[in-house]
Amino acid sequence: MRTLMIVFGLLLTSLAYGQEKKPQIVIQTSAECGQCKDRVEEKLNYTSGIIFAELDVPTKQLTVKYKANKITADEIRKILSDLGYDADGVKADPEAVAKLPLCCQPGGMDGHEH
Amino acid sequence: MKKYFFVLLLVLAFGQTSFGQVTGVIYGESDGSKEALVGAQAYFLGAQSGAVTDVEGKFSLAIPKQIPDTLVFQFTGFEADTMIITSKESVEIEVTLYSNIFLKEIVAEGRQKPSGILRMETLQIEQLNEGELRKAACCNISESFETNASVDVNFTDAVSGARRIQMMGLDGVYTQVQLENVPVFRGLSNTFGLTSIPGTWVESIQITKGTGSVMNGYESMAGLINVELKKSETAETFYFNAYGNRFGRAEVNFHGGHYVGKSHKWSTGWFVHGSGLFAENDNNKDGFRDIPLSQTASVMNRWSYSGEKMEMKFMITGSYDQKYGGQLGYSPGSNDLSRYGVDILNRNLEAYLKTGFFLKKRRFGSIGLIYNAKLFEMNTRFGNESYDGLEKRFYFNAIYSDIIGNTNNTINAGLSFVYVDMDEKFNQVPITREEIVPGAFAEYTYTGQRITTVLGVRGDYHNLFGFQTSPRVHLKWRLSEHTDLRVTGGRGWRVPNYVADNVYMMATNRIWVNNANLQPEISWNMGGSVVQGFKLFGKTAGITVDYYHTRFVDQLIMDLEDPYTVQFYNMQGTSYSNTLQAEFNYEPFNGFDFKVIYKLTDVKANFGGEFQQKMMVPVHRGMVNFAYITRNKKWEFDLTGTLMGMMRLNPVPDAYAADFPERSDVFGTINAQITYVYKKWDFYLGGENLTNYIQKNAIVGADDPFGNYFDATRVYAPIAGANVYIGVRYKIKRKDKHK
Repeated sequence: MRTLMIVFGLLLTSLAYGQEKKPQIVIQTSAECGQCKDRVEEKLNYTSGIIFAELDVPTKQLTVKYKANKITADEIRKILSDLGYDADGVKADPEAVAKLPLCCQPGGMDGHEH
Repeated sequence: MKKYFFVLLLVLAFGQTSFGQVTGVIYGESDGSKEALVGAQAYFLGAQSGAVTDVEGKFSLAIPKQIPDTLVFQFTGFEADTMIITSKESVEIEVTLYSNIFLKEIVAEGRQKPSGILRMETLQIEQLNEGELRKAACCNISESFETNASVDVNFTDAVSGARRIQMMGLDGVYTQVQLENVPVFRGLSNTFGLTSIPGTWVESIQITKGTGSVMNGYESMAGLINVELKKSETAETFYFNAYGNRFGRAEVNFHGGHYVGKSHKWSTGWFVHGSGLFAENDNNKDGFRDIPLSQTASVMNRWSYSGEKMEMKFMITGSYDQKYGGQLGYSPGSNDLSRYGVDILNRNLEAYLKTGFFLKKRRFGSIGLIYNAKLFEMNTRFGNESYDGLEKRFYFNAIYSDIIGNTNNTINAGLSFVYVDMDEKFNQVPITREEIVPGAFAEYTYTGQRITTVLGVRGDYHNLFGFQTSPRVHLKWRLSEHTDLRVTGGRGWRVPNYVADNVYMMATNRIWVNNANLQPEISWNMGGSVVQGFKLFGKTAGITVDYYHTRFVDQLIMDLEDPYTVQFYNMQGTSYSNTLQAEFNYEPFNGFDFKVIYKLTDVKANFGGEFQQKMMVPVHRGMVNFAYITRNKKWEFDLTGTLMGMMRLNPVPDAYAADFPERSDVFGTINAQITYVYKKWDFYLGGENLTNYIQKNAIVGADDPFGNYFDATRVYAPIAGANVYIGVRYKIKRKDKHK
């Protein structure tokens, strides 16, 4: 029974902490495959200040919710650029691009052409 | 170069006549994501004219003069598709090609939902993915159905710890359970087979209600369960799992897969499991171990080769499982005759080889060959009763697949061969049987815009019982984008083994009386389902309702109505099962899934001369499940509640009637689990039976286990009380999945 209450307690707290300033933004990226989704989400979700990051592969749009007092939108775009992806106006870091998995290389999804 | 070619084709097309055009987009779906295919081909088979898709997956092609003509869509690595063009009118189409997986091995992994009905399939197939299996972290396959209402898992008795599955209220022997499309969990491995495969090895499980495809055999009478293990091509590079619970159970699993050589044609994988229960538990205070002490080890090695014209998979697996149950303080081999003991030893060794060939001359033609050899030995002792069994089995299946004219009409036909040698000894009395069953089958599939039909028939010649046919029909009707209607009907049969099928009945000292003629059990199953998706307050919701009726033509009945005997005889009069299951699921907000399920089971036959509900099968039962994953995917919460209705129980001698009522109490259980994900690590904490429900008086005659009235098979609810477990997983994902 006690475990049950802990479960619900955790559920409630995770739903209910939404008091301080937490903007949610959408960033247009160049990440275009499932592996990129994993890379981007894993990097951002483990970055301090970020509440969640979700990439929608078909539109390449990244939805990010973050704590405004810990991180800024520009810092998030910079992280994406360092990872090798365009983020709105910020271009991807070319060195990082070269290290991307093949499917995430710009035009990588065209690589199927033989 | 290709683009110029494309432009040229277009110019030619425009230049020709005033015939219409086919324009459209070709998408490819693999790993659950759908993307436009660049460079995919669309061409008319008759006119030999074609086009290649551009960067957005678009193509455009003139309709040839000679119609009807077949338009073929194809792309390397994807299953080709066709469409028949019958009109000169211009049309716009959207085509989705599916990742080409040979031998039909992987049924679309990585879907959004961890479980659910596969909408593409003609048969009603429910799929449990890794996400669903994670919800109940313990331990082996038989326990992975805990969050699923279609398959019920029950303890067989209060001393052996064995669990049996049930579908449609019918014993697990009427469900064909297969490992990667090979029916192996049968005969001796009915009772303990599923225990030998740990949940962490499993990639997905498909549950088919009703008779399954004829390609896989004749034994699916109530349903078919297929277990897909992780493949050497896709398994994690390294995976480790450790688990411990409050009853003193510890478990360790690890596995890993990798490519061999640079060509990525060969790959291999290793899977290892070890577990044990090291402490005595007696929470219901009856002087017996609630769960037997145990030691289990399983290993598997698999190899895969994937070339352009041929594919090959090889798998070898072995397991060792030793259990010691019975009275507290019992130790095996100590000649301690004062205490009641249960010793169970299962040893299993099996090998699989699957080869597939694409045919050079026929674009859609392929041949698949499956070989399986199995050796299973079981040695058991329950008090003064003993049973030893050795099963040798060889299985071969050859399937030829092709299209007839176009991909709307496909055919699978082939030959099968089963050899089983059963060598049993029940209380020193030998029972031997050799079965040789060659068979042939053919299955035709018509795939239309809205209606898909599968017509199958197989014929098998059994060396002891002669010829048996199994016709089967499956129909899917897509009423609308959100509504699927399915209807199924078919015949199945099996040969019973009255001892091996019911080994757990040794946990009673009733006298076994076998008055049955050995003959096949035969049943007809028919049923249907409706799957309806809709929006509720703007969020995804769905309702699934299904109903199935199984009617036996012949059945081996086990009758427990007389408190002093276990009687076996051939069915008298009618025997049937009706099940109705209704499910509502809803996702009120992102990451939160809710489902509630009700199930009605009406299973009746003549027991003790009276037509009545089968014992241990509740008429009503219900289940609710809440699952929540935070949007940053770091926390996962899961809670499942089940409610079991009243069921009929084994009658007891009058002297015990006061403590052992004829019917069970209505009871509920709650299981919950929390998982915290940190990069490559998962930490989980869970509880089972959290309301600490314990069945009162599980064992009849517990004070006199060698007496005539001892009966430990009256178990319908948990006997060990609440469980709490913790565990950790560590995994290194594969990076070389895409080229």
